[in-house]
Amino acid sequence: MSFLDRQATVAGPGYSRWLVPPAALAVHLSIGQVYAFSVFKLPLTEVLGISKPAAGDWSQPALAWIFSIAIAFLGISAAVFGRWVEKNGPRKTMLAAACCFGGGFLIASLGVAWHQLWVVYLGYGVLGGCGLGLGYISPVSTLVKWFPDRPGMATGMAIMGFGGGAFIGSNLSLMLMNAFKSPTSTGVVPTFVVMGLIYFCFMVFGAFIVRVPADDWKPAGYEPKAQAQKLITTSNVAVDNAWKTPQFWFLWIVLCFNVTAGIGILEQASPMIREMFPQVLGPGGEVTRKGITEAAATGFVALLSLFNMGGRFAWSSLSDFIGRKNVYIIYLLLGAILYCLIPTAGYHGQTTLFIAVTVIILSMYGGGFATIPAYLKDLFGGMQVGAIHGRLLTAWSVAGVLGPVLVNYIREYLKEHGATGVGLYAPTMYLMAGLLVVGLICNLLVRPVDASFHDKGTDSGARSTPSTRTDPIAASSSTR
Amino acid sequence: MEKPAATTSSSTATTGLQLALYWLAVGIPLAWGVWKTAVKLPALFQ
Repeated sequence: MSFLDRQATVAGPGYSRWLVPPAALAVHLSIGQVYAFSVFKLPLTEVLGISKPAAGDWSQPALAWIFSIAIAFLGISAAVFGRWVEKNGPRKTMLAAACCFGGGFLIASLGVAWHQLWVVYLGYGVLGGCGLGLGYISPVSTLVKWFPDRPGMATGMAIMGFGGGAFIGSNLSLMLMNAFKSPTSTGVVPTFVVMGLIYFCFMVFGAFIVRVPADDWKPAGYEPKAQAQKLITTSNVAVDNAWKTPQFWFLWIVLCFNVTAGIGILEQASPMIREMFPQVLGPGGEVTRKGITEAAATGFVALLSLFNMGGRFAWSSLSDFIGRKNVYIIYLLLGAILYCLIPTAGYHGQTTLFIAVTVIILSMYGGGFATIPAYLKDLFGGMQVGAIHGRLLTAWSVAGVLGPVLVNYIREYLKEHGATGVGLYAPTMYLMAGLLVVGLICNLLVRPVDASFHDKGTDSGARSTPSTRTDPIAASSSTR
Repeated sequence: MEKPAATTSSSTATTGLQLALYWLAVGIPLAWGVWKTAVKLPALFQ
């Protein structure tokens, strides 16, 4: 038996499940860097010119493909390797993710040094994207197994790390580029090398400390229900059957449209707030309303990012109490109403209302990501939830293209036809509200999975016999 | 012969120190990133 095998990661008696979230966070905090890749866009347009773009330097649209390829391969690798992940366990998968993500940075650094963009696409985009996919699903499915009593909180913790990874990634990148910058270099090449090594080590730390629970383990005081609740099954559905069910595709649409709408705000947050709330002059030329400065717009983006991260944990934890379907009704129904309020806030110059509405929207965008694995576990059981989650993440890949394309193209079209200020964004906001209504209908159509799809040999309800192997920390706290 | 459980798993009981170290290892970078981002917020409210 290898140290990397699933069997070698089975936790022994006395092992606290609270040691597992740091393993998941080590991976998600690393791969969340992808959200901060935009900090490299400007320096990468000046690789030859150093202080400004020179002839032969890469263009912004060409560089935008690096992020798009990475997100596309996140979805593809999560979908393709999902079963391999379930079979081989989290340690091998997280190590593979570390090699892909860290290696992706190193290959991309060669691409920048040689000034060959296709090498950067291949390194950070394809190889790094595979690291994203493997690293995303493995810790999530592991935590779901450790926290059968609080799956929403567990997945919220891990996926919150993905949001938090952007904060670390953006600040670390800027710090390193400033340190390595010289009159003859933008500092991107050594920054990529150092970041690749740092992230590799941090992810390997997660791979080494991760554990899976024994088959007969359960949290202290937790008695799995022998009878299925309305939308929480006690049976399991294999991944190849799961995507034949209407429930899988309803949730695919829910995730896709929730993400599309959220990205629509995130993508354009800075220009949006500045164009919707410009400086207003009175009849005598006096300033009657101050416009949003660039520094304030940066602060707005930071605020959105914090709510995006916090919402992942808060909303997903709430779903353990009010139910997965209900929490998605809130995301989609409240979301649709709030999107319709954005133009209203803009037309009336209500900056505070605009900020309040958008931060709630972004918290629910994050919540949508974090709650979906627990929703899948409820519907399909925990047996192959990682693999099913992997296939569902193709919705993210589609939304990653759909959201920015919709916002950018509609804005450009409206601008060409003379729209300004709020008018540049109002139709898009109403369109996003419409997408959320479609998602709401799909969510309302979700019913328990038909028994014909259940895996006959792994009925978890039949395995719910009491066990003596429990979490000692939960046991001690339950006696207080 | 079947291997005993102790050789196939980490069977040592969890210590408070172990918990603290693991959480600090991920908590410190996260707190640093959040703090560096949060300092940009005051500009929004000026």
